[in-house]
Amino acid sequence: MEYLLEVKDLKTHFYTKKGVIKAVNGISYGLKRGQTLSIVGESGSGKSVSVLSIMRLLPTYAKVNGKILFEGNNLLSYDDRKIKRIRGNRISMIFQDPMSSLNPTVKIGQQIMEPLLWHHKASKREARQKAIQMLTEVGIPSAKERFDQYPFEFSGGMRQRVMIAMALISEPELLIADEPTTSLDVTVQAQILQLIRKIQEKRGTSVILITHNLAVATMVSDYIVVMYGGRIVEKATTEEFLKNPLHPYTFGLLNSTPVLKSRKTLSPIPGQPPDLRELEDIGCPFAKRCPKKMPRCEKENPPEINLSNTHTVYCWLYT
Amino acid sequence: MLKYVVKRIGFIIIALFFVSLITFILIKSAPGNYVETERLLSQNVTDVTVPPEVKAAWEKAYHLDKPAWQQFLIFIANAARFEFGPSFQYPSTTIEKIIMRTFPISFRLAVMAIGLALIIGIPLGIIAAVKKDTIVDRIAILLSMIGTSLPNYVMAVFLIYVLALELHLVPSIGWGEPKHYVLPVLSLAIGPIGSITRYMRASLVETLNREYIRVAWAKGGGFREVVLKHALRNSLIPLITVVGPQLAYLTVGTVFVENLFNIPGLGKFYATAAIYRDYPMVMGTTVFFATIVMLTNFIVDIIYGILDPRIRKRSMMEG
Amino acid sequence: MVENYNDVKTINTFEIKERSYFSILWGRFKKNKMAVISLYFIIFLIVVAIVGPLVSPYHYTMMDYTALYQTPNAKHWMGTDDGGRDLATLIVYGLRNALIVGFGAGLVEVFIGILIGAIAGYLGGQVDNILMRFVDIMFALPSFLLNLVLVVVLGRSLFTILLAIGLTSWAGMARLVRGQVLTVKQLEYIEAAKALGASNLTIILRYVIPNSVGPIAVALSFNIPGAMMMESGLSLIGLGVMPPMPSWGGLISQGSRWMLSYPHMILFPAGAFALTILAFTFFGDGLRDAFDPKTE
Repeated sequence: MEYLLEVKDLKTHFYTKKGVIKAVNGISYGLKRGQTLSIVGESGSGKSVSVLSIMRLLPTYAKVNGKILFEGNNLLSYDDRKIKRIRGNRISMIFQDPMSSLNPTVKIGQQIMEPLLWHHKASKREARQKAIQMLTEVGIPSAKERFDQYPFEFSGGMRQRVMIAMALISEPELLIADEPTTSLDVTVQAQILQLIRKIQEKRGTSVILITHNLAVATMVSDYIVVMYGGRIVEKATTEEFLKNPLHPYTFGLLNSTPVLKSRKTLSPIPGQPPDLRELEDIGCPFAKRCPKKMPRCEKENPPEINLSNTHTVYCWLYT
Repeated sequence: MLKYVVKRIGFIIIALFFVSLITFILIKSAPGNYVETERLLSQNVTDVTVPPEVKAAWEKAYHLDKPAWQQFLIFIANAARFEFGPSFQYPSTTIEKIIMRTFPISFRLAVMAIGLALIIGIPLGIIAAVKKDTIVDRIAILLSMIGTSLPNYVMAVFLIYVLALELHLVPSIGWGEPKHYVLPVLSLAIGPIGSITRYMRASLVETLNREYIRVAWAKGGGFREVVLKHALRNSLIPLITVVGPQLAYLTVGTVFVENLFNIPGLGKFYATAAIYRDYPMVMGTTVFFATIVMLTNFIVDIIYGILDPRIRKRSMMEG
Repeated sequence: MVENYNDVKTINTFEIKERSYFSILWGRFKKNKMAVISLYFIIFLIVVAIVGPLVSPYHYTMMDYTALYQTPNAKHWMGTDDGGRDLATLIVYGLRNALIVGFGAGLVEVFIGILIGAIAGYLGGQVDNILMRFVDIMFALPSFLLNLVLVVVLGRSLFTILLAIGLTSWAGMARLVRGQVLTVKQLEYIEAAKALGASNLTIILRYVIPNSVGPIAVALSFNIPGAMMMESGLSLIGLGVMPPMPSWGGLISQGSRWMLSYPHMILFPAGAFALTILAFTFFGDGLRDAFDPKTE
């Protein structure tokens, strides 16, 4: 089995009073065991919704179509009980804001133990030992004392460490990190990323990292998926991506991201990120902001151009 | 915490002093006296001839021969020791004995009503919150609104009619057996059921939107783990602040139900005392009820402080 | 000429603003169908309370020993009571009394509440402190206790009951007005008005009260049924208006004695009472949402 997770033509549409919002509109990618995949995009690109679709953590008015193959089984065909057994057990998730991700009235230790207890993977005593061990592993000093404390006694960085401990305690095959460092101080950001990478290498966990920061993505991941307006515009291994970026939006992202040891001047992408309610089904979503726009870009969906087994771009420029 | 407790007790003492003073002044300025009470009680409206020496003895017994300020001080000093002396209606016993005999009945009614309200209100609130914006939720809101806005004695009328007269489930009159508690307790409970349902719904709806609830779903929790363990926890502790005042007011609210069902509780005696201008009894009971209400609210606030870890830990840190 | 032109313009915009404010309010209120129905029902109740006693062929003192305990019929729409009195007439008089007490107590409450609240908020300092502690005490007590004592002292006429209820229920209003005063006091145009020599009274009448109309109206729409319930409650336990003057609470108490054999004697007054209270509550709800659309 080559892929741990394969997403095929995933479509997530929200049916609201004001109309249908096509947050994710047909994306496909694969993630190999032990690898890290980054999904990069601006806010509103659908990157968060795409991973929440995997976890099936969306409100009832969201309709998800396509296939999400986890070890070959389609998660979208699972009923509530089956998906519950996956969540927090074989696929775990870390969220953006550690300050609000922990229940303020429940002790930290209890919250960390819960994945083990809820999935009946350990007795209370074993869970406690494991939780303390996890707290130490994610770099929280005097873990035994910290175990019985409440979230308000922890700083933001410490809370994100707790979240990581909580996500990894049940030794999941896949860890989804949804902008795990966005709300943290810059110095803490690097520490948390390092921690995720360290643990991943040690345990062989696969990781999906959601980020708007291309620099972060290139630093930690094996494979990069760039999303715009609910669709993928380009996907490639990090190597290919850095060597040969093809999509105009990817160019824009690279030019607006500071890269270490380079003296290039930064230039922002002109225009605004798209309003998902106004996106058309037909045409390239980036067309309105694209500097290399051609007439057909707005009328026809961009073709899938495969440059290698691993490098795909969706753009009329390369036909 | 200690500082807060002392402050609250101080407020209660001052408030009770004012209540006593106001009640005393009002009653001193009220028309009627012991003789008139006797007359009302004996229904002998026209001709009451009381020998002056008997009248003097009566006045001495009720301290009515002393100046008003002395009477007040005597009342305060005695009330502080829970001694109110004899009443006009029942000269052979003391008011505190009447209170000790009748108040447990009223209090039991109030506690049972609150208990019932919690048993019904909490699940109803949870259902309404989980099924938010569905027809179930709408009905729950409407019912709780009706329950909170109608007085308990009107509720009692409808309950008697349906449960006793139409369905013959319980007796509508009588006192002394457990089955006689059903209608009064139900009538008293409907208001609190409404308040508790409304509170639980509002609080849970807010909590279920929190990030840490999404985290709990992501950890693989189901309804039991996420709603009952995580979300409910944050709603149940503040529920005490809703229930406390309800209990306090219900203790007084029994007055109406006791009169309607002819239950020999303190409320019944209180009303009778007021009708017959039994001033010592009215004063004693008013101050007693005021004390109970304030103490209940005070105790509830203390319990709340102990239960909420954030308040508890902070106050401990402050010393 | 130019000055005149400006004046006209400001007055016009002011009027337009004013009108649109109320039309916005009405627009928001209209969305709540229960509230609109309740409003019409309350108007209907007021009309009945005024017209009913005039057109009814009966009076609440009219006994008819040939027509005791009658169930509803053509002559007596809601039947008769244990004295052969027409129940519909009794209920209409009960309604009239409930409305008088409700609105009367509301008026007393608003008057005292504004007075105390404005004094506390405006003078501040020690006066504010003492008044607000007093309000705290009033708040900590169930108003029923003081009400009962007051009724014993003042007597049991419609007016004294209304007064007693008003005198014991102003604490919330005082807090509300004080809060409004404190808010308004900090506004810049009040500073400007003060600098121009406006007196305290002018500021309260011109700025504080108009600003507080919304919250006061909402509070009142909940307190009026509250006062009605208090009046009925007092009557129920035998401390309301003196018989034979009818009160809903009294009718319920009287009906409870005959409930087993003649349930209509209690169901009609209790039903009328319940509908009236619910109408005021739903109306108040709609009013609150109209004034403050944020709260759900």
